[in-house]
Amino acid sequence: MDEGLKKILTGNFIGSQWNTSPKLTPYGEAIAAHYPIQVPWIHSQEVSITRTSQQSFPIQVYLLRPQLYDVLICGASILDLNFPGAIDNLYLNITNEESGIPWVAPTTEIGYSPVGAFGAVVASSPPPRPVTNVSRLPEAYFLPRYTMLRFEWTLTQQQVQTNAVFTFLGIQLINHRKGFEAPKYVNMPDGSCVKVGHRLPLFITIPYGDRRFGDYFGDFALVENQQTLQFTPASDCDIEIHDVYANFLSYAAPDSTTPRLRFALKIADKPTGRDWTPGLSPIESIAGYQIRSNPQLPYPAPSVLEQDHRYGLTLQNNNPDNQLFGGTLTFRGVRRCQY
Amino acid sequence: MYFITKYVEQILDSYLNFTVMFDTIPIGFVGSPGEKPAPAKSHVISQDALYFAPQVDFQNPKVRVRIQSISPQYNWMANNDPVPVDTPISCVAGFYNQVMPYIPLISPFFVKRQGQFTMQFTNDITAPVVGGEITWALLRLTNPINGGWDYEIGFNQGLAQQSQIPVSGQQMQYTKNNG
Repeated sequence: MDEGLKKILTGNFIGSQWNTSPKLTPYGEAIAAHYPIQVPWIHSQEVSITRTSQQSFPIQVYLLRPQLYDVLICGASILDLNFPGAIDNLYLNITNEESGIPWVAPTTEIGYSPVGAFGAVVASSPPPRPVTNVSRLPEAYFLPRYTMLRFEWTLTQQQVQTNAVFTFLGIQLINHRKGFEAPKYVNMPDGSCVKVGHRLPLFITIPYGDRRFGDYFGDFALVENQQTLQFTPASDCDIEIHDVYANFLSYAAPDSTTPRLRFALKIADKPTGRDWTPGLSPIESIAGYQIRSNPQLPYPAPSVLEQDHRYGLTLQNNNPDNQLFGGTLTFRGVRRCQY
Repeated sequence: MYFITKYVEQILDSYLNFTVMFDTIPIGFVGSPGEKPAPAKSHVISQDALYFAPQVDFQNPKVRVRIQSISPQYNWMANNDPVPVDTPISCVAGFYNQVMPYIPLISPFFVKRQGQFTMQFTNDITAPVVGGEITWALLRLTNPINGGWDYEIGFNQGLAQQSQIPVSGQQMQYTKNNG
């Protein structure tokens, strides 16, 4: 296959947003078809985390205890209990305790993703009227019964306290048939037979800027009228990129001192040298953010980033007199590894 | 807006007809901070039903809810921590004045005739809601074929056809329960 022209065979994915319909992905539906009883599954956890001045970033671990039935996790919603904007500094990584595979791609810079990349954020104050309360994960996640998920929470910026309720939404898959075992392989619409666990949600978070002092996590900045280059980490298997979330756009008014449209971005697939855009594009045309109907702005179709390839991101701050602190971009997609 | 999965299709195939229905249930908040009124229960219906999506007539996401079906008993809320965390209503139900005032369930919930599920609400502490109603959009399934769908179809099928456990890449084909 011609390098750079790799295509996804149609039918194996759907758009990544919940919007008005929580469509199951073909992979998720293929798993669910093995179970005659399907019951809504909703799991909420309180998050309350504090980071004081000059404190190294705190990590708070929560273990989702084993469930009685297999679960298909499809979406997430976050209730923001802070003043507007604070929630974008709350970061998360999720790992299956059994497999040890993290959802967030390990990077030298961060290794966590902002919570808004996982689900839609509903603000508690002022009274909310979000377009969407729930965001779909890039791919349904199959959580076998009796296994645990580990949540690692952290804060990137100094704040007195950040409170939120993080909720996963899914389906309990129940089959009381004697001798039944969870499927190990499922058929995809393109005819392929893939292992359950072959498609895992993936989050790649890249700082919008460079590390300033290097003394604490999240201390990234892109100063005014400057440009920098960042790379996504290479993966050991092909990955699909579905959409992008920016954590620094939600509460900056277009006409404020930090106009959002003055941030620009260019993406290139580095090993092939193929640019996505001939020039820099406004950040809002590529990435979504809270209070949008698509908080994680989907691409027209998922893009395959081949094994060992990386995105090169040219990031630019066109503001004449404003730095950007703590900004990150999160690429969401699917890891297609056969572990 | 609503997505019909294969699972739902198979349930619908077990009936000749269905009727759209809305079930509105008063919550009964008196306006006390953090109050837990008596659990609100879905209305008993004389036919099988598929519950698709709920909506509430207030706009406070800090109201919490915990849902459990009575017959059979399945907990929807999975947090089994020592201090269980109930779910913000915004994760389950749409607000009446939203662009999209219903949040569809990922997989519609099947309730046998005469079945019910309960919703234990907890009021907000800082700005408690007074009154409150939750409305479910559902399909009432009528004219069942061979008794209609049943939770136990898989179980009965398994007893009779244990040799048909799905193997690699093979999806289970549901068959009608003639019992």
